[in-house]
Amino acid sequence: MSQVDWAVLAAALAGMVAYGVWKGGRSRDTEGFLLAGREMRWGTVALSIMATQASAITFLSTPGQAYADGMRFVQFYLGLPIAMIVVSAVAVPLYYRLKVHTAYEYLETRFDLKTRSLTAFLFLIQRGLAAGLTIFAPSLILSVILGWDIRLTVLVIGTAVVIYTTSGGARAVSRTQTLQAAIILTGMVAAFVAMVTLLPADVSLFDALRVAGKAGRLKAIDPSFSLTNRYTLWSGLIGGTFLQLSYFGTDQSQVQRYLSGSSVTQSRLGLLFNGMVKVPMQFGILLVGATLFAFYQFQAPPVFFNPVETANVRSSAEGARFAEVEAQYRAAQAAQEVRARELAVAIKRGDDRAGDAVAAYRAASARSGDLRAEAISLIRAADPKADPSDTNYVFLSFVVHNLPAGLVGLVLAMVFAASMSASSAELNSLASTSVVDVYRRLLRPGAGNGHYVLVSRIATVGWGGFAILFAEYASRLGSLIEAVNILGSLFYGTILGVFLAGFYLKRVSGSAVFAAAIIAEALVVGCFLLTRISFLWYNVVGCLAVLALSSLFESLLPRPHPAPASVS
Amino acid sequence: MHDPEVPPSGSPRQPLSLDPGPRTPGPVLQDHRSPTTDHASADETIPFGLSWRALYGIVAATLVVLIALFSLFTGAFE
Repeated sequence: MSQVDWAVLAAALAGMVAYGVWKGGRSRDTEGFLLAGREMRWGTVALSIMATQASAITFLSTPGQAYADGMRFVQFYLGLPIAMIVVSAVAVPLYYRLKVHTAYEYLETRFDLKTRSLTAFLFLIQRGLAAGLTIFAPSLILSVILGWDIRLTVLVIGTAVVIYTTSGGARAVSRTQTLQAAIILTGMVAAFVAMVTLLPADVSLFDALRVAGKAGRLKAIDPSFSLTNRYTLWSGLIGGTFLQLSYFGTDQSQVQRYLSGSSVTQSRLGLLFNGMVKVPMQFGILLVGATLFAFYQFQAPPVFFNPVETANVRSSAEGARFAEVEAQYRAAQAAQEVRARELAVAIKRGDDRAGDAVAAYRAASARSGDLRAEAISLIRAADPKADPSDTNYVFLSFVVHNLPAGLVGLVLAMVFAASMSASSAELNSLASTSVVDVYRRLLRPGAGNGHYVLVSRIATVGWGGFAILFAEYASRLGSLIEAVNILGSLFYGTILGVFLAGFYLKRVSGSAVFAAAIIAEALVVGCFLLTRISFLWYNVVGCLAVLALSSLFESLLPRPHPAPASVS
Repeated sequence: MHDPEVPPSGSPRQPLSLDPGPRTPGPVLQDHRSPTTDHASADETIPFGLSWRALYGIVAATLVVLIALFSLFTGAFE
């Protein structure tokens, strides 16, 4: 990395922290610290919602996902606009009317303390671990691609977030997220423009995309129905709606963002704007990945994008064979590039022989694919614990090796901004739930506002420290990281079911919904352990199970008999 | 607790529902109103003079258009 890149990165990092501390001010009451004084306009609410959902891994993994698997991942987000409408119509006015600080306060109002505590507890576990991963994941990628010390990277990101989140609370989080969103947008657009300009002079973006399309990378919609296919139109519209409903309606990291709106109207507009913009935004990020795939049809990519794994295999007993495969892969890529150019020309001319050109290109591409598969099997043979997927490293590898000085620093600043925006919202929501649902409700009710703000700040530092420590040791946890990632999808359906029972099943009591939630959770875990059902459908299973079982249990519970009419 | 916005912890809990069923007497919190009549948003203008129902319709229509465009995109480049 050049000195210009370091300067850009340092300036962006220092600027984000300073801006957060400056804009956050000093809140003296819980309303100010936890909900930004409920004064945000819809634009800030919308950017805050989007920045909270999009972590660094979104901008690093999503292009890699399109590179490896095409654009069908966009279907994952198709339920989001529907969820935005439902949350706007149902949850927002309810939360505002009750003037809650957390989503879980509502559950005590509707059901009882144990239901509120159960959901708050599930949130703290799930989001606490996720906060660590939000910092760990980009740090791991940066350390692999750039050789940075992962512990130092974790410490820098974590400390920067804790400083302004503790100082200014929700106001600092929301205000800084607007700056971070600007940095992220600038970084992605700059990377895309650079990518297009690096295409061969005789190949336009459209030509390159046509080639990517022939390789199946531009298939955005799959209308087939399958419970085991992870991304289809129907899993996105049905399973995705339940997932996004749960995330936006019941996850405090999002609820807190729109409760900082100055009114129901401002919160709703922020959510609806997100509903209209999020899907095209994800499409755009995936298009960057598809363009990256197209770029590498005209310039040979490395056989594997994770340099640590390739270094490992080179120094192992498989090193000699790996070198042979690498040489064959380069030759195959050169042949594939020729075929890709022929295909681009044939498509452009509308040549009748385009069918032949497609077949020749696909044959060359298949040869490269076979060699890459062999390289991966050698990596696994050298180290059985090696990760066979390199999608997370594709985008950053391109940036570091192809972009000019200054732009590399800007894209790295984008990664830091995305990581900080998501983790600051997580820390802020963890602090609010810890204080409002645990400390103030269970441990020390009745203290002054100043005391709760102080405890909120302590909780922010505490959760920040926990996230940093978890991220520092996450690399030693191996498969547990994957388990933690799945953890969220295991609980969301059940939690959503509890909230929907509260909204719509007015006869259901706390005891019935509590028992239903326990059994529904066991059912979801059973699906995870015993079936091959894709995880998006867990949200449907958990939610519907809570609604059905709570209704059943309520009908079985003894009801108080009405008092007999008095006889005078 | 001095924060007046949060329901007092010791207060009796009342069921709250948005279910448009028959009204029950007493202090049960129910929301049978249209979102547009919500008191918290009634004092603010919705952009372009639209109703909430119309805005929700626009978001839903945008989704339909996006799916159609993505399908066309898929077909065009396949």
